[in-house]
Amino acid sequence: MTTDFDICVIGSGAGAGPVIYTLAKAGYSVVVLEKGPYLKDKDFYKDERACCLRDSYTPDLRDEPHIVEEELDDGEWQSQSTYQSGWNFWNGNVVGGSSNFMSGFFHRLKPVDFQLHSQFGPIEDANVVDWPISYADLEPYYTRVEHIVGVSGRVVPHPHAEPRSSRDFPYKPTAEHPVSALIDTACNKLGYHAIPTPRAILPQAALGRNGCSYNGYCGAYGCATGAKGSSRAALIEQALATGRCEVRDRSMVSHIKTSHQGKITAVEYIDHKGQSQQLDAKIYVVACQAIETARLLLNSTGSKHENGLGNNNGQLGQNLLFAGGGGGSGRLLYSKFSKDKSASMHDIGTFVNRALQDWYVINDPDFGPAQKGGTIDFVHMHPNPVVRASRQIKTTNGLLWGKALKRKLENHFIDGRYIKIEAFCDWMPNDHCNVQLDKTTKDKWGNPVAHVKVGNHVRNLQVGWYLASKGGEVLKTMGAENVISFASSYPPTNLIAGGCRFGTDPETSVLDPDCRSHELENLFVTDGSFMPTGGSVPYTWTIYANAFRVADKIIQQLGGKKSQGITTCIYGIS
Amino acid sequence: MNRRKFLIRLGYLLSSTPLALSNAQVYAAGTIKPLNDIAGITLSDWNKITLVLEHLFPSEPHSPGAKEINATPYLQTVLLEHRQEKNTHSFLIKGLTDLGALCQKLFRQEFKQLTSTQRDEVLKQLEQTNDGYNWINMLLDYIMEALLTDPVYGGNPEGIGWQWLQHQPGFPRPTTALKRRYL
Repeated sequence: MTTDFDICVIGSGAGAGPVIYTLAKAGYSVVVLEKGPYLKDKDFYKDERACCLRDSYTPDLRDEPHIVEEELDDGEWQSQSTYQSGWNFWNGNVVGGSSNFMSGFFHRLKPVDFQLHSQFGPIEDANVVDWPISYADLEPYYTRVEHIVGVSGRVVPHPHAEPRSSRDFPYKPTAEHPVSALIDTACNKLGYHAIPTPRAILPQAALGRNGCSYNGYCGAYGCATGAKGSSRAALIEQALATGRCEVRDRSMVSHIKTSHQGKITAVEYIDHKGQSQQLDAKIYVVACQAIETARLLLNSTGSKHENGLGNNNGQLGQNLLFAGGGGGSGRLLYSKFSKDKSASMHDIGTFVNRALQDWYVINDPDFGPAQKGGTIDFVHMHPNPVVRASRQIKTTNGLLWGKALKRKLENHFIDGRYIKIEAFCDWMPNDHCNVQLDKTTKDKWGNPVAHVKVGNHVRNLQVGWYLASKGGEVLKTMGAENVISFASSYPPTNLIAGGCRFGTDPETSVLDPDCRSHELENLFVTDGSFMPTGGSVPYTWTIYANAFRVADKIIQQLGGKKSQGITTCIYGIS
Repeated sequence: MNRRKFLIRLGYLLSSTPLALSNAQVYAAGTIKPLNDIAGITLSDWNKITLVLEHLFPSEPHSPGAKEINATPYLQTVLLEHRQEKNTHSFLIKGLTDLGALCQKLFRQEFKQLTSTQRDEVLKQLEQTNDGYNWINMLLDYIMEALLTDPVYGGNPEGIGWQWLQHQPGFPRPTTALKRRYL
């Protein structure tokens, strides 16, 4: 059978890049359909208004909203368009997806994350299951990401350290801020084990990319040097260099067509001119980020797929995951430091790079039986000045303006350094967190938009509180003032997974253990949708690693590598 | 045409009291328009808005106020943004109308005739209504943008806001104002 391409990849973020890279290097023709534009390093500026105040990299919510259904305090459920609420569920619609805008906090999952059900048993009202693969299956691919995407860090002994096949990271840690040493000292005093946070950021030039410029504007911003290991900079541009990869940006896939026999025949998309197009391939890979992946597949009905593609068991879109947890902050007053130390504390370019995983499994009798905990990251408060200034306006006594507002701004910006804690725990999969097609609202092309129900499990809050309070304890020990810590039931819209969980049972999962549709042998899903449980770390490294694993499965299915494009030199792990 | 050139054409960067240019004309898209209708709002109303902005964020010897950060021209450019919400215009005018009515009710005078203390009193009372609260909040948010966004957008001239708050911008900085989304 002749097709336009060997592989058609829909989406271009962290779940897509490894497939694009691996298949193109293996000699296969790859076409990438990305709804956003192709922006390169030179197109990214440290422009708060563009990145963070006007949502320039995501669709206009008037044209493409989501409908979000959340539970109110009185137990009622309320649905609202994100256009009305302003609560944006899109993440970076450009080539490379939201990996362009990540902070790059890269933690691996740990063996326990693959066996939550068998390790800790069922949790009431939560759909906890074991993964169909183990940590050992994914470990080589975590290592592959370290080398190909570029992960910098330093391995230190730790009670909850996961096994590694290599001794240390291939890239030294990025430069650290003086506050990192203060965290180490405080943690030593408390008997905790602070670890250097691995980052998907190159400290110096490598892999054909420049090193970090250390200017303090990283997360939420596109990287102007290529140091950040985005899917675009690290993988897609390498794939394009093979000559076997074509990226069609501003191309919005609206439907995956199937024949009366139920086989995929083509994908339909709207091109950059607004014209309807279609193409076909031997293998189709969907990686549009969890919500949009589920939506595309639900919208892609056919005579053999009346409930959506690969959804004859009704599982598609179920068990959506966010990241549970909490947060907090404290401020270190410059006046408490010597003149020289105070000057160094003002530095905005270097990173904190510290995390705690002492409670990845909580063995605390006061908290109940042993249970899954999570990770605490320590970070600088984001430098975005308008966002920070705007937060000073609202007080418990009303709005602040005039000279009182100006004094508050001076105090906030000039007198000290804010350190934040971000606590990550498992978002318990449950029957009230899922993606469906909205029954009334359509996007500007006439396709039903995603209806996202964001039910939160009480366990998220319990563990979030536990972790955040531990982080707050560290901040207080450091001498920080105004320390607060809190748990949050709100779903963070930049940390989304699930909806197409993988498993061995076709009745209870959407994908098989290779992330292939149970119902269609040439359909793979390689973004975070596959995850049945999320672990207690940001998802990106695991999404990258799994996509590299699935890429190898696709090559196997296609009969092996076509060329010697991939060599042990590239994948060789020393 | 970049943002700065556009503003120069409007005359904003040539005067510290831009709205005094009542006889100036706007050259846009090859047409000549009287300046008394910027972003669909009359000069008279812009003068009233300017007084409110300057009260909310006053000038001081050691720190810039709404005037120095170009808050009014900045707000005008916001209203000219691609696909700006139309109801922002009407909400801006409604708030101004409500404010004027409250000034008459409390003091039988216009906002511009009130003392600073009286202006504060009126705004505090306006804040007690939902619309009034949101209106003042919106103006304060745009003042923060004019204070701290990159100067390419027309506020924060020569980084005056950054300097006051000892804020270091990142780099590379934008060379032109991004006027619309990429999508």
